[in-house]
Amino acid sequence: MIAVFHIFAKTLMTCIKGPHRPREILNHMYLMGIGSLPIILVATAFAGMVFTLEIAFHMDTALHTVEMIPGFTGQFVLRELGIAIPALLLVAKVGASTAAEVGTMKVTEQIDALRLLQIDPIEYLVYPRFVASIIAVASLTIISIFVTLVCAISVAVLKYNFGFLEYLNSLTQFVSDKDLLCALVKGMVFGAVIPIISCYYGFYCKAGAEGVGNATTNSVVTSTILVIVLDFLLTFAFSMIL
Amino acid sequence: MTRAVWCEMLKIINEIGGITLFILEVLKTWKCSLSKTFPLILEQISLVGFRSLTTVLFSGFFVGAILVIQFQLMLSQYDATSLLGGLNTSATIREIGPLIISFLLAGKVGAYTAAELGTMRVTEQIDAIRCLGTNPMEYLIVPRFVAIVVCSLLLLVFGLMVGIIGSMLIASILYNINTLQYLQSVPRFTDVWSITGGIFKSFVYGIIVASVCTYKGYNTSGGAKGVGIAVTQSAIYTNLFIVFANSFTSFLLESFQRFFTALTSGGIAL
Amino acid sequence: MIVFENIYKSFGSKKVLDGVSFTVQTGEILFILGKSGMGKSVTLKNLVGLLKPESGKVKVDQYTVNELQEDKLSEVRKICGMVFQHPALLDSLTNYQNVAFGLQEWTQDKARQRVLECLKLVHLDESILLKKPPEISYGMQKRVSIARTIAPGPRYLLFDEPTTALDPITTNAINDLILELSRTLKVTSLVVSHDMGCAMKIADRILVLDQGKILALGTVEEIKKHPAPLIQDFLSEALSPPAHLARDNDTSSVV
Repeated sequence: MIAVFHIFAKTLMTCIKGPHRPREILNHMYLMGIGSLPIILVATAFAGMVFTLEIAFHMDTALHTVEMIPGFTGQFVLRELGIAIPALLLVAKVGASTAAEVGTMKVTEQIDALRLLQIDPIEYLVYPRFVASIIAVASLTIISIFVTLVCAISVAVLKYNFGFLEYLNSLTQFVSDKDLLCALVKGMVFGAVIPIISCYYGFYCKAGAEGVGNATTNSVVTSTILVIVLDFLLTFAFSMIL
Repeated sequence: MTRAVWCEMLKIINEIGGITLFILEVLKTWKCSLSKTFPLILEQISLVGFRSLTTVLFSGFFVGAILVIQFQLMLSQYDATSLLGGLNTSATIREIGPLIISFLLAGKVGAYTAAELGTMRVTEQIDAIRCLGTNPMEYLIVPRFVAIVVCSLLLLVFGLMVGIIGSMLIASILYNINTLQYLQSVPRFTDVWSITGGIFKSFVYGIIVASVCTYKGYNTSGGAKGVGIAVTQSAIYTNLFIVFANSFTSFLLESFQRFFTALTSGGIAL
Repeated sequence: MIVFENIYKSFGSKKVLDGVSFTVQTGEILFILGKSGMGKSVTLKNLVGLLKPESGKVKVDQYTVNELQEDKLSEVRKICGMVFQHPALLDSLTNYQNVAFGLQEWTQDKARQRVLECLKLVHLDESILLKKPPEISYGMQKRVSIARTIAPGPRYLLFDEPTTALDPITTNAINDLILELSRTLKVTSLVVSHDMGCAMKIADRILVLDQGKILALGTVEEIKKHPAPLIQDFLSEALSPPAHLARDNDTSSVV
């Protein structure tokens, strides 16, 4: 527990003091961001379609009204779905692969080698991933919100004969740029959490293949739970503001 | 960019193919060894359930809380807050409940199973089992596969209960909606179809977690690094396939419900 | 008797076994030596059907292993026991359950008797039976894995790099054990290793693999006289005195 805070504190200090290693950061941003983009696009497209169908179905059968669809789906996508789905997918992709990578480095004694070369592993390994993850996850969140909205709109237009402009009009009545800002903040928070937790489990990885497996598993589980809890706290906080 | 998406899709289709063949092999093995594998399956069910229960209960509560806040925000703009209980419960049972529980299962149990099997593969334990005359499919894979699917359904029940309780609690604390008010709108949105739908989805997601994770673990290669890769890929593909399955099952259930309703009402008309 | 006839095996573009043919006589200890990655473990795995060659025949007694289906392979695996490079014990079972793993068709009493017998043969105490593999040392785990392999009573014992990653004392102990088991149980042993010293001590014949082909096959004496540079390198490593002793004798240079 204390170790996690230690890693977090040291990473923040490196943010201020440096060395900043921009090339490393860009490299990780490419891997995390562009690398995850296809999966995020596909997944959020599907999620957007399904959700709109479900909500519309509810509105139709239970309330016999379809007026609420644009506002409702738009809001939910912007505030929750468009953020939670990519976050959970990225916990799996980025979190697991980081934990596995750092864990393997620990098991093959590369971390010890770094220490002997007077390089701080947190500075070298955690910090670039931390910055890259925040930027990548935040960007992917925004992109996925956009994609999910497009799919939601398509479903509404094709299935329930909404006009495209009609939908957008209805949507803008209920959402504002504050929602977008909240989404961005959530994305950044989730992006910050993932590398810290994964690297923690990687650093304290036990020996052998079993150790790497455990580190990866624990990193995915803990990150998922933490993302859910933080989501709740942020949702609550934002609900007070909005 | 389209090329990258296309490559990714091809990779995914490839995986789906391999996994389908694997599932058929598992089912075939199970059919041939029902009595032998039964005690092993029970053992695994208790291990899997024990491992994931606290996580599901803890997270389920928070997810219920998140949903109630979000829905309350949205419904208050339409002045339709009386619908909160119904809408929230229905969404939890039909969609969010099965989805989140499966994500958690994929992490806690799925990744663990992939790691366990992967480690056994790279330390030659699976080869050793084969050399000693036991079928590793029968001994390792079938029990874990069946246990994960069964636990997926069991955990759904617990997760939904906790989620709904969480929602009710937050609704009463934050928005002064008491239990009776909350539950009033439930029957309007929730019916047999919702519950069947939720169970069916959980079942499908359970199969996805079970098959992807056992498949990846069993086919690991390359030492400690290989295990890391196997676990990572399990985590990614399970979540991705669950999202796909979400769409397909929703579409399937909706069509089926429409068809069934048309059939019965048409029958009555006749 | 074990016969390898013209075996070809590659992984992708890499040729691991390139036309390998040899026979293992009943009752002998044959060592397969070579540098890392030269196909030694692959040879063993072909023998028990864990891998299949692209062409050629692998014969164990009356069975042609590479032509058998998975269910028939269990017959071959009953007579060929394999000790893996890692102990490969199942962590969730006790050591007793591990050793008795291949005896599932035996009665409880017979199995227990056999486990105790095998434990004596590998010089381990009964006290480890109730413990689990992570609770005993690596050397002991290796012995337990040997006990597990000999329990079903195979006629052929295959060892895949048995002394890799062991300290010199345990290495000698395992070598002696291999020799002892071969004589006591009257089995044929096939040992894959890259330790020429071990081979020199206990092998009846030595087979050297290089680039997927057999470089040499013969008794210890014949190998000692073999002119190939690779074999001479192996030999000089095995037979040279430790560096610090050489330095003591001649203070002006380090050997």
